[in-house]
Amino acid sequence: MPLAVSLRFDFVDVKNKKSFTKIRVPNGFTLSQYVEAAQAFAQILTNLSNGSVTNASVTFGLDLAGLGLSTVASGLADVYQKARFQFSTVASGFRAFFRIPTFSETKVVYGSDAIDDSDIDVAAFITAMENGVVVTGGTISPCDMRENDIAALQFAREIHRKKS
Amino acid sequence: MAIAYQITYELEDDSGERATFGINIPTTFSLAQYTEFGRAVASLVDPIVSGRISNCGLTISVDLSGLTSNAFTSTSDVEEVAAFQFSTVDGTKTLVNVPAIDELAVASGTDDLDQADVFVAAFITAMESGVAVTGGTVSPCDVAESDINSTVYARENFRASGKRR
Repeated sequence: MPLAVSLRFDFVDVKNKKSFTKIRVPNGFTLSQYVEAAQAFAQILTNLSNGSVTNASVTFGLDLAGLGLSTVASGLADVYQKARFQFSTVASGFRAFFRIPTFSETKVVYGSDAIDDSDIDVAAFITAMENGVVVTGGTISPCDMRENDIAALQFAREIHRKKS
Repeated sequence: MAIAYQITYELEDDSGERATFGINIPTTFSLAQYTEFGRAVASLVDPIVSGRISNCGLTISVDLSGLTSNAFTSTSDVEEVAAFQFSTVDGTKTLVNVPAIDELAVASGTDDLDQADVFVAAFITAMESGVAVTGGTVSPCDVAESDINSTVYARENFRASGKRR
């Protein structure tokens, strides 16, 4: 059974304290229907609350069954050990980056903190980030939060950071 | 300009600790296409990490520019919440806490919310019966998708909003 879809609403009060609430709704609707529902609930919550609703989002769980992914973590895995991939975008001066937790030490160039982008698995990941992934009816190409398409890798290096 | 959607991956290490990272993606595709993308990238991430991918989700942002009366009041406090417990068609219970509840919605001399209050009643109706959207009605449920059909209680409660040093 799939888990329900989650509508999240963020609030702020006059003291600038923040909080949120979630409302679960069923799967089976379109993205635009979920957006409509979230907007309707946001207005209902705004009317009910003395705070201000500052953000609303809809989160869907994606089913990864059947992909043959690792079912257990390696004994060497540590979420504090990450790889930072930084990309330029098509908009000059705008960058996109992410830090992948539990990055494999075997994919780091010996004697340095550089990620080995000649490794076949790392190269495949970078290519997907730069050129996108083919899906039915199109290609989804990653971008920055302003939807500027990722252009090219600037660097990829090992870093150690807190969990998220 | 729209805010990009995000596919989030949660990874777990051998000590059970979890961390996430997200990949931003354009807003013009369908849920089925995003699912394909999320699965494809999961297959690319798996070989380059030593942890296991424990969860994956798509988060889309919602435009709130059409909201009315959305300013906080001088007495607003997100730690003062309205706690609604609902029952589902399967008999399970699910709780929704609404931050910064208006004290005027609390029945005098009790901690019960006044369910005759127009805004409390509107929220309860929406939770029990859903909200109409183009082509259907989206009706809230519990995490296992069991439809909410009645209200168990609605009362004032207090909940810390975060750590204070």
